[in-house]
Amino acid sequence: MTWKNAFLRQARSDFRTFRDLQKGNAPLCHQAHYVQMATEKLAKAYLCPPDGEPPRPTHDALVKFLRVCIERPEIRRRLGFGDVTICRAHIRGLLPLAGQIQELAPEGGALDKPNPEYPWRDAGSWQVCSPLDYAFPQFANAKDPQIGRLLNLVRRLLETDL
Amino acid sequence: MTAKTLESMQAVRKEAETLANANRDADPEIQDIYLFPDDAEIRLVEVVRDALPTDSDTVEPFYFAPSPADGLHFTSAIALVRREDVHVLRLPPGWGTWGDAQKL
Repeated sequence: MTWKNAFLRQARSDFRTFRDLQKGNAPLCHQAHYVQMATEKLAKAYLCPPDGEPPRPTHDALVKFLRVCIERPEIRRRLGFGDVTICRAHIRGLLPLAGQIQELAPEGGALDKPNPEYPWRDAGSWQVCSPLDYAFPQFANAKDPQIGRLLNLVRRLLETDL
Repeated sequence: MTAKTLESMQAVRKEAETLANANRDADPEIQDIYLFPDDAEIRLVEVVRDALPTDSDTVEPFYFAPSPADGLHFTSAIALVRREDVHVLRLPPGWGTWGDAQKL
């Protein structure tokens, strides 16, 4: 198996796990964690050259990846966008939320900001917080159509062969 | 360079030009597109007005498989960079130097 295919395979599994957690009403931190991991690995699959080495450790790949996807005719076609203008508007409209999901990854072990994986110390109150108690506004509002659109986009990209 | 290699490079360049034009249509924020010549892969670095800064010292392209249905017969490697990254960021192994880049 190539690194590229291995990253995509793991991303698909992470996303399926997210769906299972969502169906089981698991705490938001666990759902958010799996979405963050699935999207990061999806983007990293495309950072891998065919038959090449894995990408360097980074959490900042999703937004750049989605930005490039706008240009790809095969991806637009597979996503069902006949019109590039509509595709551009759709994906660009999701980039801020994608950025927030990308930012969920804890950076370098610094326990100083909300993230779905590790406790952190709040800079304002100096209280130690658990992800289990955090609201994760990116995911909390189930009626927000943006999160549904982004998850749908991710799902369809994960279904795409490399 | 063999005749076959030269022929392949010309085929890649031709497809890269088509792709670059299509990308400009798809994304009005593209300012410049550089092709790094190769005989098997389309290697594009696109200068984009709203490209995000990188925390790497190297151009990091995304790799897309050939898609003959869309007229793309070669793997495409595409990186979006800022104007100030050109001639500054290192290139992926095998891409040569910024001096090898051809503006499309």
